[in-house]
Amino acid sequence: MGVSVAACNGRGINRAVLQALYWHRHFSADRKMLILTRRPGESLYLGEDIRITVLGLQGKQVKLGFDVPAETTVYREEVYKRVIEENRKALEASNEDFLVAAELWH
Amino acid sequence: MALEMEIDTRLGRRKIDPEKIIRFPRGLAGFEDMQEYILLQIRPDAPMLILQSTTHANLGLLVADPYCFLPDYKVSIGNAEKSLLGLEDSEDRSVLVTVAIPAGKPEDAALNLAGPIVINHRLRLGLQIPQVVEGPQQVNLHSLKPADNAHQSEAKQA
Repeated sequence: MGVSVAACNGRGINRAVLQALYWHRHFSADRKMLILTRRPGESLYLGEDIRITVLGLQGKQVKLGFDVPAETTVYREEVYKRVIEENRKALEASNEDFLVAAELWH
Repeated sequence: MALEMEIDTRLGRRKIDPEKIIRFPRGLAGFEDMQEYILLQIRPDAPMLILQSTTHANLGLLVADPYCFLPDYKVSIGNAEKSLLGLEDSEDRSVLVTVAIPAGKPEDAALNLAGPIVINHRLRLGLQIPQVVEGPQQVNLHSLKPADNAHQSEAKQA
Protein backbone atom coordinates (compact mmCIF):
# COMPACT_ATOMS: atom_id res chain seq x y z
CA MET A 1 0.00 0.00 0.00
CA GLY A 2 1.46 3.33 -1.00
CA VAL A 3 1.70 6.09 1.53
CA SER A 4 0.72 9.41 0.10
CA VAL A 5 1.09 12.74 1.80
CA ALA A 6 -2.28 14.21 1.07
CA ALA A 7 -3.14 17.87 0.91
CA CYS A 8 -4.38 19.03 4.29
CA ASN A 9 -6.09 22.35 3.72
CA GLY A 10 -2.76 24.10 3.56
CA ARG A 11 -1.74 22.92 7.01
CA GLY A 12 1.10 20.51 6.37
CA ILE A 13 0.63 17.46 8.54
CA ASN A 14 3.89 16.41 10.09
CA ARG A 15 5.54 14.23 7.50
CA ALA A 16 7.10 12.11 10.24
CA VAL A 17 3.64 11.22 11.43
CA LEU A 18 2.59 9.94 8.04
CA GLN A 19 5.86 8.16 7.55
CA ALA A 20 5.18 6.32 10.75
CA LEU A 21 2.43 4.46 8.95
CA TYR A 22 3.01 1.05 10.39
CA TRP A 23 1.18 -0.79 7.66
CA HIS A 24 3.63 0.35 5.05
CA ARG A 25 6.61 -0.53 7.16
CA HIS A 26 5.43 -4.01 8.10
CA PHE A 27 3.55 -5.17 5.06
CA SER A 28 5.09 -3.33 2.12
CA ALA A 29 5.46 -5.15 -1.17
CA ASP A 30 9.24 -5.41 -0.87
CA ARG A 31 8.94 -7.89 1.96
CA LYS A 32 8.84 -11.46 0.63
CA MET A 33 5.78 -13.57 1.24
CA LEU A 34 6.20 -17.17 2.27
CA ILE A 35 3.90 -19.40 0.24
CA LEU A 36 2.80 -22.86 1.40
CA THR A 37 0.10 -25.28 0.27
CA ARG A 38 -2.21 -26.89 2.83
CA ARG A 39 -5.25 -29.20 2.71
CA PRO A 40 -8.41 -28.87 4.77
CA GLY A 41 -7.72 -30.15 8.27
CA GLU A 42 -4.05 -29.23 8.12
CA SER A 43 -2.46 -26.51 10.24
CA LEU A 44 0.45 -24.10 10.33
CA TYR A 45 2.29 -22.63 13.27
CA LEU A 46 3.38 -19.00 13.30
CA GLY A 47 6.05 -18.73 15.95
CA GLU A 48 5.38 -20.87 18.97
CA ASP A 49 1.92 -19.88 20.00
CA ILE A 50 -0.15 -19.18 16.91
CA ARG A 51 -1.82 -22.01 15.00
CA ILE A 52 -3.83 -21.49 11.84
CA THR A 53 -5.95 -24.39 10.58
CA VAL A 54 -7.60 -24.71 7.17
CA LEU A 55 -11.05 -25.87 8.20
CA GLY A 56 -12.56 -26.23 4.77
CA LEU A 57 -13.31 -24.87 1.33
CA GLN A 58 -16.69 -23.61 0.22
CA GLY A 59 -16.68 -22.49 -3.40
CA LYS A 60 -14.34 -19.50 -3.57
CA GLN A 61 -14.09 -19.17 0.19
CA VAL A 62 -11.57 -20.66 2.57
CA LYS A 63 -12.57 -21.18 6.18
CA LEU A 64 -9.69 -20.69 8.60
CA GLY A 65 -9.42 -21.36 12.31
CA PHE A 66 -7.08 -19.38 14.57
CA ASP A 67 -5.63 -20.51 17.88
CA VAL A 68 -3.95 -17.40 19.22
CA PRO A 69 -2.79 -16.07 22.60
CA ALA A 70 -5.39 -14.15 24.60
CA GLU A 71 -4.10 -10.71 23.61
CA THR A 72 -3.65 -11.33 19.90
CA THR A 73 -6.15 -9.34 17.89
CA VAL A 74 -7.29 -10.65 14.51
CA TYR A 75 -8.77 -8.24 11.97
CA ARG A 76 -9.83 -8.56 8.36
CA GLU A 77 -7.43 -6.58 6.17
CA GLU A 78 -10.04 -4.55 4.33
CA VAL A 79 -11.66 -3.53 7.62
CA TYR A 80 -8.38 -2.46 9.18
CA LYS A 81 -7.37 -0.54 6.05
CA ARG A 82 -10.69 1.23 6.05
CA VAL A 83 -10.10 2.41 9.61
CA ILE A 84 -6.60 3.65 8.68
CA GLU A 85 -8.18 5.61 5.85
CA GLU A 86 -10.92 7.02 8.12
CA ASN A 87 -8.33 8.12 10.67
CA ARG A 88 -6.27 9.79 7.99
CA LYS A 89 -9.30 11.67 6.70
CA ALA A 90 -10.42 12.66 10.21
CA LEU A 91 -6.96 14.18 10.64
CA GLU A 92 -7.16 16.19 7.44
CA ALA A 93 -10.17 18.23 8.50
CA SER A 94 -9.22 21.81 9.33
CA ASN A 95 -9.57 23.42 12.74
CA GLU A 96 -12.14 25.86 11.30
CA ASP A 97 -14.33 22.94 10.21
CA PHE A 98 -13.89 21.31 13.65
CA LEU A 99 -15.11 24.43 15.39
CA VAL A 100 -18.09 24.92 13.11
CA ALA A 101 -19.09 21.25 13.41
CA ALA A 102 -18.90 21.48 17.21
CA GLU A 103 -21.15 24.56 17.06
CA LEU A 104 -23.65 22.83 14.79
CA TRP A 105 -24.02 19.76 17.01
CA HIS A 106 -23.90 20.71 20.63
CA MET B 1 -3.52 19.96 43.59
CA ALA B 2 -2.90 17.95 40.48
CA LEU B 3 0.23 18.55 38.47
CA GLU B 4 -0.24 20.36 35.23
CA MET B 5 1.76 20.10 32.06
CA GLU B 6 1.70 22.04 28.83
CA ILE B 7 1.60 20.40 25.45
CA ASP B 8 1.32 21.58 21.86
CA THR B 9 -1.96 20.60 20.25
CA ARG B 10 -3.59 21.31 16.94
CA LEU B 11 -5.56 24.01 18.73
CA GLY B 12 -2.38 25.58 20.10
CA ARG B 13 -0.63 25.25 23.42
CA ARG B 14 -2.82 23.76 26.14
CA LYS B 15 -2.46 22.99 29.82
CA ILE B 16 -3.41 19.42 30.61
CA ASP B 17 -3.68 17.25 33.68
CA PRO B 18 -1.24 14.36 33.18
CA GLU B 19 -3.63 12.08 35.03
CA LYS B 20 -6.09 12.49 32.18
CA ILE B 21 -3.69 11.03 29.62
CA ILE B 22 -5.05 7.89 27.96
CA ARG B 23 -2.57 5.26 26.89
CA PHE B 24 -3.28 3.37 23.66
CA PRO B 25 -0.98 0.33 23.80
CA ARG B 26 -1.66 -0.33 20.10
CA GLY B 27 -1.84 3.30 19.03
CA LEU B 28 -4.53 4.15 16.49
CA ALA B 29 -4.95 2.42 13.11
CA GLY B 30 -2.22 3.91 10.91
CA PHE B 31 -0.52 5.53 13.92
CA GLU B 32 0.46 2.48 15.89
CA ASP B 33 3.56 4.12 17.36
CA MET B 34 1.68 7.10 18.83
CA GLN B 35 0.38 5.81 22.14
CA GLU B 36 -0.49 8.71 24.40
CA TYR B 37 -3.54 10.88 23.88
CA ILE B 38 -5.75 13.29 25.71
CA LEU B 39 -9.32 14.38 25.03
CA LEU B 40 -9.65 18.10 24.42
CA GLN B 41 -12.92 19.94 24.63
CA ILE B 42 -13.78 22.14 21.69
CA ARG B 43 -16.61 23.80 23.54
CA PRO B 44 -18.34 22.89 26.79
CA ASP B 45 -21.07 20.24 26.47
CA ALA B 46 -20.39 19.52 22.80
CA PRO B 47 -20.58 15.81 21.95
CA MET B 48 -17.47 16.38 19.83
CA LEU B 49 -13.96 16.30 21.21
CA ILE B 50 -10.44 16.17 19.86
CA LEU B 51 -8.43 13.05 20.55
CA GLN B 52 -5.04 14.70 20.67
CA SER B 53 -1.64 13.02 20.74
CA THR B 54 0.38 14.41 23.65
CA THR B 55 3.60 14.06 21.65
CA HIS B 56 2.62 15.09 18.10
CA ALA B 57 0.78 18.40 17.90
CA ASN B 58 -0.56 17.69 14.41
CA LEU B 59 -2.06 14.36 15.39
CA GLY B 60 -5.49 15.34 16.63
CA LEU B 61 -8.66 13.66 15.40
CA LEU B 62 -12.19 14.91 15.72
CA VAL B 63 -14.20 12.33 17.66
CA ALA B 64 -17.76 12.20 18.91
CA ASP B 65 -19.87 10.31 21.38
CA PRO B 66 -21.86 8.08 19.00
CA TYR B 67 -24.65 7.54 21.54
CA CYS B 68 -25.65 11.20 21.35
CA PHE B 69 -26.70 10.46 17.77
CA LEU B 70 -27.13 6.70 17.45
CA PRO B 71 -28.45 5.27 20.71
CA ASP B 72 -28.44 1.75 19.23
CA TYR B 73 -24.87 1.75 17.91
CA LYS B 74 -23.29 -1.59 18.80
CA VAL B 75 -19.60 -2.24 19.21
CA SER B 76 -18.35 -5.78 19.31
CA ILE B 77 -15.39 -6.23 21.65
CA GLY B 78 -13.52 -9.53 21.45
CA ASN B 79 -11.75 -11.26 24.31
CA ALA B 80 -8.34 -10.05 23.16
CA GLU B 81 -9.56 -6.46 23.17
CA LYS B 82 -11.19 -6.85 26.58
CA SER B 83 -7.96 -8.19 27.91
CA LEU B 84 -5.86 -5.38 26.36
CA LEU B 85 -8.23 -2.82 27.86
CA GLY B 86 -8.40 -4.54 31.24
CA LEU B 87 -12.18 -4.33 30.90
CA GLU B 88 -13.91 -6.31 33.59
CA ASP B 89 -16.91 -4.11 34.03
CA SER B 90 -18.79 -2.46 31.17
CA GLU B 91 -19.32 0.50 33.53
CA ASP B 92 -15.70 1.47 32.94
CA ARG B 93 -16.20 1.70 29.19
CA SER B 94 -16.68 4.74 26.96
CA VAL B 95 -16.99 4.67 23.18
CA LEU B 96 -16.01 7.36 20.69
CA VAL B 97 -16.07 7.37 16.90
CA THR B 98 -14.04 9.49 14.49
CA VAL B 99 -15.80 12.21 12.52
CA ALA B 100 -15.19 12.87 8.85
CA ILE B 101 -15.64 16.41 7.55
CA PRO B 102 -15.36 17.14 3.82
CA ALA B 103 -13.07 20.19 3.44
CA GLY B 104 -15.04 23.40 4.01
CA LYS B 105 -18.33 21.54 4.57
CA PRO B 106 -18.73 21.03 8.30
CA GLU B 107 -22.49 20.66 7.78
CA ASP B 108 -21.73 17.40 5.98
CA ALA B 109 -19.86 15.88 8.94
CA ALA B 110 -20.32 12.12 9.24
CA LEU B 111 -19.65 9.53 11.92
CA ASN B 112 -17.29 6.71 10.99
CA LEU B 113 -18.76 3.50 12.34
CA ALA B 114 -16.07 1.00 11.34
CA GLY B 115 -13.36 2.06 13.79
CA PRO B 116 -14.79 2.89 17.21
CA ILE B 117 -12.36 3.90 19.94
CA VAL B 118 -13.07 2.17 23.23
CA ILE B 119 -11.70 3.65 26.43
CA ASN B 120 -11.43 2.11 29.87
CA HIS B 121 -11.65 5.36 31.79
CA ARG B 122 -10.81 3.71 35.12
CA LEU B 123 -7.43 2.48 33.85
CA ARG B 124 -7.02 5.27 31.25
CA LEU B 125 -6.49 2.72 28.48
CA GLY B 126 -7.76 3.01 24.91
CA LEU B 127 -8.02 0.81 21.85
CA GLN B 128 -9.41 1.31 18.38
CA ILE B 129 -11.41 -1.77 17.45
CA PRO B 130 -12.13 -2.34 13.73
CA GLN B 131 -15.68 -3.58 13.24
CA VAL B 132 -17.38 -5.56 10.54
CA VAL B 133 -20.27 -3.17 9.97
CA GLU B 134 -23.49 -4.42 8.39
CA GLY B 135 -25.02 -1.62 6.33
CA PRO B 136 -23.61 1.89 5.98
CA GLN B 137 -20.09 2.46 7.34
CA GLN B 138 -20.71 6.16 7.78
CA VAL B 139 -23.71 8.11 8.99
CA ASN B 140 -24.17 11.70 7.98
CA LEU B 141 -24.96 13.81 11.03
CA HIS B 142 -27.36 15.80 8.89
CA SER B 143 -29.65 12.80 8.69
CA LEU B 144 -29.77 12.41 12.48
CA LYS B 145 -31.44 14.21 15.28
CA PRO B 146 -29.23 14.55 18.31
CA ALA B 147 -30.71 12.71 21.30
CA ASP B 148 -31.18 16.10 22.94
CA ASN B 149 -32.58 18.05 20.02
CA ALA B 150 -33.27 21.30 21.85
CA HIS B 151 -30.67 23.02 19.71
CA GLN B 152 -31.94 21.85 16.36
CA SER B 153 -33.43 25.16 15.28
CA GLU B 154 -30.35 27.03 16.44
CA ALA B 155 -28.17 24.65 14.44
CA LYS B 156 -30.16 25.36 11.30
CA GLN B 157 -29.60 29.07 11.59
CA ALA B 158 -25.88 28.75 12.26
